[in-house]
Parts: sequence; structure tokens; C-alpha cells
Amino acid sequence: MKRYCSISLIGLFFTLNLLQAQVRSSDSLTGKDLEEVVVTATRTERKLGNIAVPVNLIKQQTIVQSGSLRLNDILQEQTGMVITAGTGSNAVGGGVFGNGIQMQGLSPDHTMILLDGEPLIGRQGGVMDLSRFAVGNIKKIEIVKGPSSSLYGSEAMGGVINIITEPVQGKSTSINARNGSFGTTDLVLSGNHAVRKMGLYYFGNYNSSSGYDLDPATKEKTLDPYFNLTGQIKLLLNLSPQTKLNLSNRFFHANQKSFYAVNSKDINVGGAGITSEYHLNPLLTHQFNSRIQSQLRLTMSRYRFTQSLDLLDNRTSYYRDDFMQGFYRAENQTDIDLNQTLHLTLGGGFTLHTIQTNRYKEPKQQQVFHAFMQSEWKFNPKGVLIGGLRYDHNTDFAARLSPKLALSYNLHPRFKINASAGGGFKAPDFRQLYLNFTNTAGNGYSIFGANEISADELNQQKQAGLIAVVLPEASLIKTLQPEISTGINFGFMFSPAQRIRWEINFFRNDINNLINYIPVGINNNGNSIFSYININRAFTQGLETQGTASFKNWEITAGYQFLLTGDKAILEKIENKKLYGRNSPLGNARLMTLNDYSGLYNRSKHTAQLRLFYQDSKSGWGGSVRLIYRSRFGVQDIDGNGFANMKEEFAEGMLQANATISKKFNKELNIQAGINNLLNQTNARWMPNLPGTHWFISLQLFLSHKTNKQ
Amino acid sequence: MKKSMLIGATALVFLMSSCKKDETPDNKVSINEKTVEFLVNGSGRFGNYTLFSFAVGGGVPSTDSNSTKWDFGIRQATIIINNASSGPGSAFVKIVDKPFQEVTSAKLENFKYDTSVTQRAIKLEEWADYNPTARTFSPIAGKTFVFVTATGRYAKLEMLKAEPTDDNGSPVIPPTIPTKIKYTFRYAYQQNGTTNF
Repeated sequence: MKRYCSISLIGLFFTLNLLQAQVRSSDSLTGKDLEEVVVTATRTERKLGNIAVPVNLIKQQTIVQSGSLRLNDILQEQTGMVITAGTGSNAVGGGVFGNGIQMQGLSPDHTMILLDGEPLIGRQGGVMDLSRFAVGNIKKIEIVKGPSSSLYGSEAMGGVINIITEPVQGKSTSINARNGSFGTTDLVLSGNHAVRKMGLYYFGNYNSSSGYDLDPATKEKTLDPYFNLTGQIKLLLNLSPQTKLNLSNRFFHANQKSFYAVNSKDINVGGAGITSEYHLNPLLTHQFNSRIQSQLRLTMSRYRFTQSLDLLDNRTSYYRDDFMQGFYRAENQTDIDLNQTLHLTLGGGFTLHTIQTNRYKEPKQQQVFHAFMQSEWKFNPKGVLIGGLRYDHNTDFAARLSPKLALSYNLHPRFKINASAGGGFKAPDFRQLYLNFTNTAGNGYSIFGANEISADELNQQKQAGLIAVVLPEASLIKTLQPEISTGINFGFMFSPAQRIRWEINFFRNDINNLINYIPVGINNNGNSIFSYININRAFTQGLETQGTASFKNWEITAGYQFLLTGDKAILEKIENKKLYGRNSPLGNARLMTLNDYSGLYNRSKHTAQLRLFYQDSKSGWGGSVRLIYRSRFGVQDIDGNGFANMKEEFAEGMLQANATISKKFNKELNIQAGINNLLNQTNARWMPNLPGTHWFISLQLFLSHKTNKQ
Repeated sequence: MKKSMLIGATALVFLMSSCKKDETPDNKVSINEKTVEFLVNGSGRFGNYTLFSFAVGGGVPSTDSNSTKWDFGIRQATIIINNASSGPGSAFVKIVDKPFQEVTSAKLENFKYDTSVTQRAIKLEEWADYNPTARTFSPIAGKTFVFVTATGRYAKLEMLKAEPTDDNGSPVIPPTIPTKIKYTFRYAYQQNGTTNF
């Protein structure tokens, strides 16, 4: 805590000094990217420099220069973003590792991920596997930090990541072929064909790998071989000068063959995991007059993951998993410029979620009605105040009202202050409501969603002799409340010169009603019956800072995040001297103190990035070097106190170094080579998603030149 | 001669007494306290409980289950006590909220036994933090088991580790389903029938 304060003071001191040194002209805050238009923070197009909440923008050029293939590749290199390697999929091994995202210290299920403004589905155990998303069709990625449920509803607690794909414009065709370590092949064909009133964008990607093995001692590969296909087609119809129709669709198919040695020295179980995904998104935009614009958005998304594993010697079934999810939404958003200083955004819609899996008793569905409004008031030329409110009404659990207030003020043409406070929530997910699962293979425990069981039902089952004991905790089972958070962000942005920008943001998120399982009964075999209740409380707080400078062909960015997190119940137990721990696995138990407390699992106190990019348009040479560091993080609990305190409970800190070099020949051909994880830092157990040193070479061909409108 | 014998006897007595003095604290710590690994059936539902005897200082074959040769048994995360519904012995147990080294006597109160298959003396959540989705459980530091053995002596025990393993006791990590659980625990067995440790 002391450290935290001193850092902020140094930061402030530094800022004020720089401010005095750099006051020169009176032109407005114009860092290099500040003129870029972003849409996610307010659901309307606004210049990055005028946004009142913390926003990071990743441009296409950065993605290309970094040689990224999948969404997790590029996100992990951003300030304050950590890719988590949970066990992700809840299948026996999972088809893929859960490459989830952690923002402001919140777990992956608390960050919303949008594709062109529409939510993506297909989370396994709350984790959206980012490696499902190719980056070849991405125009830019907008990252809004802090609670954003006032605009986006459930899941937008820690923030929103909006993947914005290539717009339909101009004429171009490009082919990209890449080959790399671990038998990685990646092929992209994409193009844009606009004719008068209509246009078409298409994107196709084939990606495959033969996997890798970080731990030769085990028979299983760390990552099993896979291939996947992504396709996207976007159609734009200009129906009239005021009306346009966008039709966007995306499909994804992945196949991964997994093999396991189950209680055997050799591989004896294997089979395929198949992910398929389809996303259709028509968008009708109409400009009623210069002041009113309205959009009608429809979304249809389907996601399915099936895995079937067989015993290899006799081909009998060993494990089956089938998980099907649907998401259908109709939504209207209307933007009104009431006058020069007041802008109003109104919206509302209806969503149907469906789910069908062999883990639930029957297919389930939920309906959500929502309405939101936001007003943006430029109370004077230097400042803007934004107020927003959203109401979500769900058929299966309590309704939720999410407010937000944000202020941005230019204290000085080169110095801007941002402050915001808001509420976030995450609806109980399907497994927390409907899971109906008895583990017959391993432990024989049962786990029931809160809507699948009640204290009364448990008592009836006990009287009928179906179960043995109903624990007093069963009375805690009731209608689940959404997990809720309140978040505060305060920061400033300082741009001493056109090409230099420094930002800092302090954040604090308090999360209540976190859903967890507790034992509620004992079955006739003596094993526990679990159900979900709203129980845990946690917080995350810290600071994030980033400096960017560009000169001539160079751009350098340095970022750092300091993060403190905690489970409030554990902190109370420590304060009440009720929590013990050990210094080593076989050591003596001793009382834990606040100094021993390391926060929530999987959170690194320090993360830092240093990125250097070079691009010379004359010679065609380009390159990048990126360093990504995260300090140690808690991964397991050996002494049962709910947090990591001994060395064996942490995964060690890690420094990744990645580099690329590229050369452009004419305007038609670009060759890029790259090497990732140069320092070969791996951790088979806790970071299985990070392969050792690997290289690639890619060749990009532009068959016809792009004509950008701008 | 007499003198020298006397001196010798005195010396011997002195030696013995000094030995005794030195030994007493050692007895308390080193003779009784042991840390052992104990590989048990990893199935939550099927197969035998793996039995442990404090007197033996290790496992007892399951063919002896109908005897007083064992004190407690474990199957995966379930612990049974050799008494009443679980066995012919007269073992009891309780869990004390104190670190092992601070438990210096087995106070004769609050002892429990297995009254039925579902009313066992020890509930998992009393001594371990269980994560059903990750299928792991961690013994909670600062919890000490105090036993009356099947033959009426006293012992204290502290669970240190519970590792999912294969049949050979080699650790397995998800996705592999463990077939055994390797417990590491520390215990002190008071053979002389007193309640002091």
C-alpha cells in the first residue's frame, strides 16, 4: 500500500514537472493517435482524445508488424493485459487451452468480448478462448477498461474488448502464407470489392499446427495437433444516401485430436474435439436527419463443442461431451444530437440465450430485455460529462440496473484528466443455474445449479432415502443474484509534443456476490453434494501507465501495471488470526499475517511491456522487438488457506522476448520473419499455452492495391 | 575396591540420571513424531479404504479390516475411524483448530466416531479445502487430528499434502484422472497410554 502511494506521488510530481517544462503552444491535445476514432467507449464514434474512460487502441499495423496470428498473441503484448492459461475447457483435457484475458485483475469471465460490436459466445468454464480468433481480418481492436455494463450489460465488469474487422471499402485482394515451428501453417485469402452502391469483403483463413510438447516426461503432448478454418463475408448495401445495410457473417471450425494416457504407461484414450461457430449480424442504419441516426442490429450466434474420446484398444466410448449454445438478439440504438452540447444515446432490445448439453437435464433458455440511455454533455469547450444507465431484466434471476458517470476535462491543452465510476455485473451463467452433474468417473461428487435444487427438494430426497444428509448450508440456496462490481477509474493523459504521449490510470474494482459452490449435502455414498450461491467478495486495485513516443520511422511504447487483489473473506480471517499456513509443504503451520497474503490466484503484481517498432516506407524494411514481463503469480493451494504463500504455490515470473523483421518489395510483396519467446521461457504445468522458442516466415502478396477512402 | 565400586556406582547412577534427563524431551519429539507418505485408493466411490495403523506406523492390508489392527482408513478424501459402523475397534477422533506442535495433550472431550456410513466422524470440509471442478483438495494448515486408537492409545496427526497420483504414486496433473491419492502426514503416537504428546 505504501509503495502504491509513493508511485502515484512520483507520477504526479513527474507530470507537473513535465507540464511546466513543456508548455509551448496552445494547440489542443494532439498525440499521434488521439485523432483516431473509437466507438466502443460510448457506442458512438468519438475521437480517442475525447474519451472519458481508459481506452487502448491496437491498430492493424501493430498487429501485422508483431506477426500475430491469433487474438491472444496480440492482446498479451498490451499494457495491463494478461493471458491466463486456465484449464479452460471442462472436457477431460479440453480441446484447447483456455487462452482467457485478464484486465484490471478481473478474471476472463468478467470481460466482454465483441466482434464488430456484437457479443461473442462459446465460453467454457467462463473462459473465452482467444485463440479461436484469427487476426488477419482485424482492422483494429478497441479495449475499454473499467465497468461498462451501463452500455453493454452482463460480463462487461472489467471492461470490453471490441474486435473491429475490415470495413467494406475499395478494391483489393491479398494472400498471406506462413510457415513456422511446430508444423504451423497459416493461409489467408482476403479481399474487398466495392461497386457503386454495394460492396463485399471476404476473408478466409486456414490454420494448423502439429502441436508441441513442453514436458517429455508425460506421454501426452502439451498441445495436441489441430487445424481450424475461419471465414468471414461482409456485405454492404447503400440503400439510399441515408440508409445502409451491413450484412456480416463469420464461421469457424476447429478440429483437434487429443490423446491421453489414462492410468497407463502408454496412450490409451483418444479422439477428436470439434468446435464450430456461426455468427450472422445484419445491421440497418438510417440517418433521419442531421441530428438523428438510428440502427437496428440483429445477431444470431451459434456455438458448439463436441468431444468424443474412446479407449483405443477396443474402441469403446470413454468420454462424451456435447455443448451447444445459441444467442439471438434484436436491438435498436438511436443517437440524437439535442443541440451543440448535448448528445443522447437511447437503446433497447431483446435477447434469447439457449443452451443444450449432456451435462444439463434438458435444454435451457433465458430471455433478457434491456434498455439503456446515455447522455453526453459538453458542459464547456474543455470538458465533457457522460452519464449512462442500463436496465437488464432476466427471466431467470434478479434484474439489474447499471449506472455510469464519466468526466473528462482538459486542464491544459496538453493535459487531460479522466475520472469515471460505474457499475458492472455478470449474470449467473448457465452452469451456475442449471448444471446437473454427478462425477461417476472420479470422485462421485454431485454438483447442481441453483435452479436445479433447493433445500426443500434436498429434504424431500432425504426423506425418500435418496440422499443421506442435508447440511444447514442448504438453506442458503436461493435465486442467484448477478455478480456485481463497482469500479472507479481516475487518470490523466499528457502529451508534451505531437508524438509523445503519457497516460496513467488508477483503478479500483469492488466485486460482490461472486458465485461459488458450497457443500449442501451428502449422498448415500458419503460424497458431497455441491450447489452454487452468491458468497465471495473481492477487490482489485492498482495503476496502469503507458508512454508512447514516435520519431521518424520508430515508435516505442513502454507500459506497466501494478496490481493488488484480494478475497475479502480471507483478509478478514487473517485479521481475526484464524488462518494458518506453512512456509514449505512439510513445515510447521503458523498464523498467516497480511504480509503473507498474495491476493487472488493467477494475478501478477507487476506486469510490464516494452515494444519497439520500426518501419521505413522508402526502403521497405521494418521490424519489431517486444518484451513482455509478468511477475510470479499464485497457482495452487498446498496448505488449504485459499491463497499462495509458499514458494511451491507460485509460478515463477516470466519474460518473453519476441522479434520480427520484414521487407517490402514494390507494393505487391511483403516478406516477414519472426522469432517468438527468444529466451525460451516455458512452464509446462502453469503456462502450457506458451510454447518454447519458435520462428516463422510469411509471405504476403497484394494482388491489387487498396484504395482507402480517407 | 569398595571405594572404587561406590564411585563406579555413583558414576553409573549419575550417568543414568543424566541420560534420563536428556532423553525426556527427546522422547517427546523424536521418538513419536514421524512424517510418512500414505498411498490410498483414489476412487471416491469404489473399492476398499486403505487402512493405517499408528502402532505399525504404516498401512495394514484390507483383509484385516474386521480387526483392531488399524486405526483409520482413507478412500480418496473420505476418512473412516475403526469403531461402530466402520470397524470393530474403539477408535475416536476429533479435529482441533491448533497447529500440530501446539497440541500437547489429547483432552478427553468432543471425540467422535462413525455412527453410520453417512454420519462419519470427519467431514471433508472440516480439514480440507476441496475444489470439485479441479478435483483437488488441500489439507487446511492449522488443523490437527487427535485420535484415540483402535486399542485405546492416543495419537495426533497433521495432514500436510494430498497429491493425485497414478497407481505407482507418481503425481498426475489434469487431464489425467488420478487412481490414487498420496497423502503426506505427520503424526505422533503416544504408546504409553497417556494423553500427553
